[in-house]
Amino acid sequence: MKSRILLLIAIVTILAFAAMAWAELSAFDIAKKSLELDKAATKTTLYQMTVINKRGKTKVYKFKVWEKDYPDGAKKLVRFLEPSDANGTGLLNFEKIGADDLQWLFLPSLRKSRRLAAGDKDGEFMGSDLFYQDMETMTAEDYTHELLSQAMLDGKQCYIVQSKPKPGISSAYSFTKSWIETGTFIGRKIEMYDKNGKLLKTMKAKKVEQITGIWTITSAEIVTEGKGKAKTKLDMVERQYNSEVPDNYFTTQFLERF
Amino acid sequence: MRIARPLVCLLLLIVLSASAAHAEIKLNGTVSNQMRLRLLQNDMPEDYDWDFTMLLSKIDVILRAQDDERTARLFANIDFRHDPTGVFENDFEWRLREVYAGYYQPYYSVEIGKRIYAWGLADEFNPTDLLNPEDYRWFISVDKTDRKIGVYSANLALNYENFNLQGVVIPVFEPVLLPEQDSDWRPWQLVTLDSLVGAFPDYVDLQEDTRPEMTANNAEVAAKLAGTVATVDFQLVYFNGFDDQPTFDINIIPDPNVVMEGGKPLVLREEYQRYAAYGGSFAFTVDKFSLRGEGAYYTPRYYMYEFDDSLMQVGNLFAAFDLMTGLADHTWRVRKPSWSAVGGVDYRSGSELYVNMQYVHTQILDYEEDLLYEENEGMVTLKVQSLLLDEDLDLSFQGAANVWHGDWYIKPYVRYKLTVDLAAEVGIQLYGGDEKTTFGDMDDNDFVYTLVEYAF
Repeated sequence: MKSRILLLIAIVTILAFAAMAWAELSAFDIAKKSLELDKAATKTTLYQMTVINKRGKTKVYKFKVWEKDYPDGAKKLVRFLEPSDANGTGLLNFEKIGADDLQWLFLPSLRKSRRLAAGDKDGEFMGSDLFYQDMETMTAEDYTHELLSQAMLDGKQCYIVQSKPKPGISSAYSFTKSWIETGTFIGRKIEMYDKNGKLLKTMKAKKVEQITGIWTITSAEIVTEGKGKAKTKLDMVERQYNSEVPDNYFTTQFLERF
Repeated sequence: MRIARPLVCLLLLIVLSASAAHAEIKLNGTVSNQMRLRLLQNDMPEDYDWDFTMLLSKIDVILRAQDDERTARLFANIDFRHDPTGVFENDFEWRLREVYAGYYQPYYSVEIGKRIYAWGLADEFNPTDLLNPEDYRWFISVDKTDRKIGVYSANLALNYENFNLQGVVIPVFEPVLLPEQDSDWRPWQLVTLDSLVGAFPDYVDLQEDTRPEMTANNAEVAAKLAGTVATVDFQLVYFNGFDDQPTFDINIIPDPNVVMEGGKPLVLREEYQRYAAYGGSFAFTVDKFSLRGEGAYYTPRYYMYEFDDSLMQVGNLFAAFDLMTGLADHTWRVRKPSWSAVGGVDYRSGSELYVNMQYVHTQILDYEEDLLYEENEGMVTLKVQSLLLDEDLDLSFQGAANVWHGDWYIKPYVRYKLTVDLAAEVGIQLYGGDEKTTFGDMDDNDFVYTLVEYAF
């Protein structure tokens, strides 16, 4: 009996410490853990993006993304494979911590890449509900985060974290609200707000899987406010973590090699 | 024979690609059909050339064979055109725009074959983009990407982090394609051999096709250093090669027996002049703005003097000797250095609005009044694009105006994506200005067009 009481005290103590530990997590910690949930030295992903406009017209895009982490940020190359008129279109992105990204867009018809302004982030990505900014990896350090509350979402307990871009960081959104699952730190839902603080878009994770032990959102849906039934579905067809991705992939020479 | 060479290249491409390990073969392209309808002008003469209205079908095929990591590739781009209204000389035309093999490693790459290069960071007008000649048979009514002509070349590129040094050797000279003598798209100041036929007496031998022979000395060379420093993209360019457009000079054949034997003692020959260019360009961004600049200095090139008709007024036999001497002694052209520069800014607000504005300036240095070309040419260009309906609808405007002479050109168009692969476009091209100005000279060439394009 005594040992049971001791065991119970031990469990309660551990749980209390664990609860305190979680309670002590700052909004920044929660955001960082969530944003870096699928962090890896390299990621190679094949996406299928289905864009349904408000008239019900559907467009399907396939594109491959190579990402690699560097000490001062991350580099990303996006290459479109389908449909035919987008085949070869490429986007190269250098994300620098504490500074605006550098972006180059390659259109095969022009045969050369051209620099995109950092302010181009609110441009629609191939006519979808995604902005060019959404294709970037959000860095926790570039935002100030505030823990608003906790709430249930689809049966999961979630932190609600508000993130605002720091001065000097250009963003298409004035702030975002993220529903981050308490146990796993999976971002279940993100609301993006425009410059006037009005809800612009909502992204919801539709499918989450473990790939080589890493929690990964493999299907998401993005809906823009006021666009009726229009939505964009982003499905991960294939994801490889820590595979060999040469440095020269992240050069304008490689971007233009199509 | 002209067809055999591209065919052999194509077959080679297919055989090589099929044998290459892990190679993927991709076949892409577009099929387009453009119908142009000339707009009536009030002062249009009765015998106007209605052949201008054309139905242009184009198939642009790109064949790629490359491995997954793009360390080796074979690339071919073939362009087939058909015009039932007969604007083309042969009705049906096909061009092997590019066919080259490339081998790529992280620190270097090599490409050999027929290639189109795109140098310079400015938009559309690139003073440092000198490697490829252009097809000007339809002036600028065809997009620049379609106008460029591939050159047989070899290039070696060395890469280090954000920097790239590329060297190019072009052993086979390729000239520009210019509008025929009777073409409506022929610029007024253009002097070509066919425009001189009939202007000279019989004893002047007009020699065609005098393009530089393929020798080591005649090879064109170019180098480009490109990179990004801090947040600024830059390119530095050197070019040493031939001017794509010929100039003319009359030479005396120093043999008195030539005339006695019925030969022609004077020779008028097209000559492609060698020159060098040093240039550079940059691009950087500030918030929603991109700023671009590009410029080049050209070492002296020949410029033609205005054609002196009085030389031809002495047409009788007794004055033939004087005429002959006069023609031979006349100075037809002069070498002058020049420069060209572009400065511009583009602004983007989401997908809804893109505005690009540039100023282009060229100047012939040490200028002389009688030259066929103006000392200074300054042009403002404007491009506005708005993508609406989830980027299915493209409302665009392109225009240019010469700030010195007031001539102008505009092209507004609407393009709509019917499906992901099929697009339709309606547009209009208008030219205006005084006679003997670049765009004013095309004043009668205004047209509306429809275009249907399928991508595969």
